[in-house]
Amino acid sequence: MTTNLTKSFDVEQPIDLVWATLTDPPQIVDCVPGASLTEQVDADNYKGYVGLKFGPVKAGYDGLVTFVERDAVNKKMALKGMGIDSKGKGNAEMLMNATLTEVNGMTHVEATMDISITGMLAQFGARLINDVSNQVFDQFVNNFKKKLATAGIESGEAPAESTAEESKSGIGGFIKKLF
Amino acid sequence: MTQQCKTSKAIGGMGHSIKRKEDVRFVQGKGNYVDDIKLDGMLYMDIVRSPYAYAKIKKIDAEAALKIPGVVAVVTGKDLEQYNLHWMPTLMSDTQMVLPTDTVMYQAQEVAAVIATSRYAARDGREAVRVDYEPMKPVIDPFKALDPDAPVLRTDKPGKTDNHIWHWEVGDKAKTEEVFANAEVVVKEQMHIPRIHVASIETCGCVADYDKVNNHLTMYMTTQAPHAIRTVIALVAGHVGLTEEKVRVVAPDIGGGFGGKVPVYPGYVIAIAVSFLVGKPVKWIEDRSENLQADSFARDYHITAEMAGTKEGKILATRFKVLADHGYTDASANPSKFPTGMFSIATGSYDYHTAYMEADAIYTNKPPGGVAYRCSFRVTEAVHAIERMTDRFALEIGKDPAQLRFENFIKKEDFPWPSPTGWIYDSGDYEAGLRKAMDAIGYDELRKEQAEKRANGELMGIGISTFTEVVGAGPSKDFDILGIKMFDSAEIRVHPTGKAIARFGTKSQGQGHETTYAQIIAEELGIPAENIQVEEGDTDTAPYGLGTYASRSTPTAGAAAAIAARKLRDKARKIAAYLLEVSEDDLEWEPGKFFVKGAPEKAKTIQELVFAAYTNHPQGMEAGFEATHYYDPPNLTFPSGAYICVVDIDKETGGINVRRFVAIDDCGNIINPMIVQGQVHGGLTQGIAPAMYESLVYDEAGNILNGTFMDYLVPTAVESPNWETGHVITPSPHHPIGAKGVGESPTVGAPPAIANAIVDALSPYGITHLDIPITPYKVWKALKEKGAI
Amino acid sequence: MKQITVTVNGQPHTAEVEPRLLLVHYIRENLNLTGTHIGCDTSSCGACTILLDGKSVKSCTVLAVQANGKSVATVEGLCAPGAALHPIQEGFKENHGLHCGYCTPGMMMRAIELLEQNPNPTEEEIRWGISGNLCRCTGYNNIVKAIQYAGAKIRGEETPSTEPQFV
Repeated sequence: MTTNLTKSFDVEQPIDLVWATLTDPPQIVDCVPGASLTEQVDADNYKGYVGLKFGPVKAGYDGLVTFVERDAVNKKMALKGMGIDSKGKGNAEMLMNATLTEVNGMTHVEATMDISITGMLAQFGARLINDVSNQVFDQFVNNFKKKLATAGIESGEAPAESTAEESKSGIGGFIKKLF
Repeated sequence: MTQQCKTSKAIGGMGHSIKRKEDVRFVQGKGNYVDDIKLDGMLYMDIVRSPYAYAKIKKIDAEAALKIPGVVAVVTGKDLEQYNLHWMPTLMSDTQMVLPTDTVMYQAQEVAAVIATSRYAARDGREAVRVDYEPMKPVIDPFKALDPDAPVLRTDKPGKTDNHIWHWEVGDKAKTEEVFANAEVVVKEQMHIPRIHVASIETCGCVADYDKVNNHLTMYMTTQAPHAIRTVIALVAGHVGLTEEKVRVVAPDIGGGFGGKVPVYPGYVIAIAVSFLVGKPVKWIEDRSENLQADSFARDYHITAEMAGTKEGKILATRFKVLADHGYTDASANPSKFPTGMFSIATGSYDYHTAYMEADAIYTNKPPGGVAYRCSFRVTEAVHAIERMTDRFALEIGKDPAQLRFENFIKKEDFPWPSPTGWIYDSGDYEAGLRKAMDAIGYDELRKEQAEKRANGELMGIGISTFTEVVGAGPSKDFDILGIKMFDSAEIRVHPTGKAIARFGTKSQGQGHETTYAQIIAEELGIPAENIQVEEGDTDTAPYGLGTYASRSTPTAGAAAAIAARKLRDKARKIAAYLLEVSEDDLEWEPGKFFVKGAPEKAKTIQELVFAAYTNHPQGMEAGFEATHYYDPPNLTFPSGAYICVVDIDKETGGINVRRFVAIDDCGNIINPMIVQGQVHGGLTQGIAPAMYESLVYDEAGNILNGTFMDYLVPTAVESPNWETGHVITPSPHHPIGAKGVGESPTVGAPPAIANAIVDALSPYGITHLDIPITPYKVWKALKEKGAI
Repeated sequence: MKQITVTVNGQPHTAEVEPRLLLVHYIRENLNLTGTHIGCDTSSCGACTILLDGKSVKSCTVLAVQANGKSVATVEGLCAPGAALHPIQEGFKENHGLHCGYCTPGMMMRAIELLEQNPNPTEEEIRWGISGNLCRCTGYNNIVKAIQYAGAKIRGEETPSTEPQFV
């Protein structure tokens, strides 16, 4: 199950600040709904956790985030995330490409995301993945803008789970409920 | 051609619509299905399944699962490997994993089994088993499976260098090429008969009950072929002491089979292994998602179909090339010598003598199969190909498809008819069938209405299918499964008071054998059907047989019943001659009694004769009144049908309404018209299902996208139209009661009638073919592409 | 564990059950009333349909604790063993409204409520009325006939012919 998203958005901040934030793992992960960093492996590789809900299915991914490209000159970056569901029910892969351009002192961001999921989430969540991914992306953008607006202030908040779907039942509970 | 009843309604022989005997228990909730069985100390099994289509298993961690109260064991492939039970043979002599030791080959494949003291604890345990996988890139697209860079899936097979399973061909290739090269008209379409699932409302399951004291296994299971299963268990597990006399297989009431309960699934084998090791009964009942995602699929044939003919509309030759996607192992349920089943019936109901067919089967990372889905081995695929192409040819030359069929039918006087692929069709009257269907539906008026609607831009279509089936496998010279010849059997035991019990090697899954077999015996012996108790499914008591699938019960076991009954009638005649003190030649039979020719008052009823067999039998004659027969059919039977479907299509939405559907079947002589009609109704709904609704869908990573009943669209009473049915009768000349079998004809014949109707509606816009299932979206998209909307 | 009291086919039963226990499992395994079947895990097939306080519900989607204090009717309660069949049972039997029998109890329980709400339904009303129950064998024609027959019988009218009609 794959899905592709293309988004562009403007941030009313100078390009260097946007670039610095976007390429700083602790800051960027803070903006991803449901995500948290657990360990820095090296300069380009980070371990983390993402919790997501797709309809009745709740997935928790233990993942590895890798910066494939960080071109500070051209302001181009590529980020690859690979996660395996912590209950062994499947995995997810995401490749995000982003390019920043300066427009009138503000920053324009062009981003594409290729998401591929396997396993139970793909089975049950196939019809939802586009919508949920879209919403997660929008939430990310909002969080990111907020973060930049209060740039310099360290966020002490714990990562929030995605609110894209209100359902509280995880996959385990869902299946158990049936039996 | 109507069939006269030879027996009174009280006797209830052939042709009477007597009510079903089995229904008394079913309507009171007293059926006994596998999940209803509860034994002392019974354990429950649940199965951990793979989320990946193709992956290495790095580690299975059962620690957390084993801590859950009630969980007693977690079984893996490594555990079974110690007993050499981690692989098993398929019916097609391929191999299938029971549990994997290192690699999973499809999503939802069994990975480990959790055994617990309750159903809920087993499911909790399943949730807690942690498996680490290393996913690999799967082979999903069958057309890419043979690419040089495709990974070789069956690395377990020494020397295997590609994903090819087998090649098969039949017919005269050179002559076919010549006819095609010189033909005035050649039409060609690429079609897919989609992967579908039988989805019987009861899923599969078992209770394996091994008794350590007596070294005896009783296996209650959802199987259509209990005897064959017993032999397979003995062959696979004989080395651990489970020899055939120590194994009893019981198929209790079965909640629908349709071919899906022919294979041996890993769950059964694991349950046996666990019961054998722990000495307690083990119950395994799969849930619907597991059933749809892991049990054998049906169909999945990609067919390149071609027909050659004259401008006037004479069919000259056909050529079919098949790519068969079997998943990761060939677990088809076909007779051994027929890897494509009876696909070679694809020359159809038409009189021409040149054909060539070939097929290649390949491995992909999908569940194994394929089984039947209510059709004799691969006949649905064959019939869809020929009936679609017949309409395609008619469209090409601008001839009415009914007229084209009349001009090409095999004539009724030409039977027995040798087909270009080697079958000998037994009997038929195709013209009478189509004529009757056209009269019933008002074909000519419908064509007029269609012309008016077309003038207004409205979409209405009329589709015909005039198919020939091939069922009743089969003659022992050609037909076996794992070497066991495909005869079937009946044993009749008549008690002193003239009431009987009859046992069979087949197994009803809803076909009504308890009623129809009794009627066959009633017909031959004159004992009222209501006094004949029919039993099947217990290998300890029933005579050996190959089971119920492929519409084979009536052609094989039904014939065995008739012949066993005739043996008894011969005995009754001897007793009657003795009691009436006349020679056997002086006696005449009418259902229920022998009487002296010319003196009908001098008579003995069958009940009197049976009583005498126990109380006053002639000297030198063996006492008792029992007979057994193993029937080896001399030929297959060839049921046929003429189906016409009318559809109205909403041009804006692509919505398809099946306005009417008339089905005229020829299943030979009819045992019970009510049951035959019921079978036809059900088969038609299982025909509209793949034509318009059902298909198992996989994405490029091998995720099944509709593995539950929320997404896999089994037709409800709303999707299923009001079926109109009738019949013509051409008795099978070689079958003892002239019957042919009917359970699957409608499933075979309906999809092309529906597809032909839809394509007929769309043909003014240049649409010549749509793959089933034809959904509103597909119709809308095709119309959009052609600029019609 | 939670204590519940459920009246099943007129008989009160009290038991300690896990809060997550499904009503269908309570009926089948605790009470051994195996006429109610299970055909799916997504509330799609209706094989487990029973009457809960007179309403047809899919008992795989109801927790046993939710039935506490309520009354349940299953197929076993339609007639006493050996007694005359309930009109819906007679309708199914006389009209060949079943083949394998697996969907039948759920289908009949649904039909009972349907006929209570609409004593003389049209064919279309019957088809929509049972569209939450799947049958894989019969093609539904004879289920429709069976329900029409039962409707006539309940209304005290002459029942329609049960002979098969052919074109």
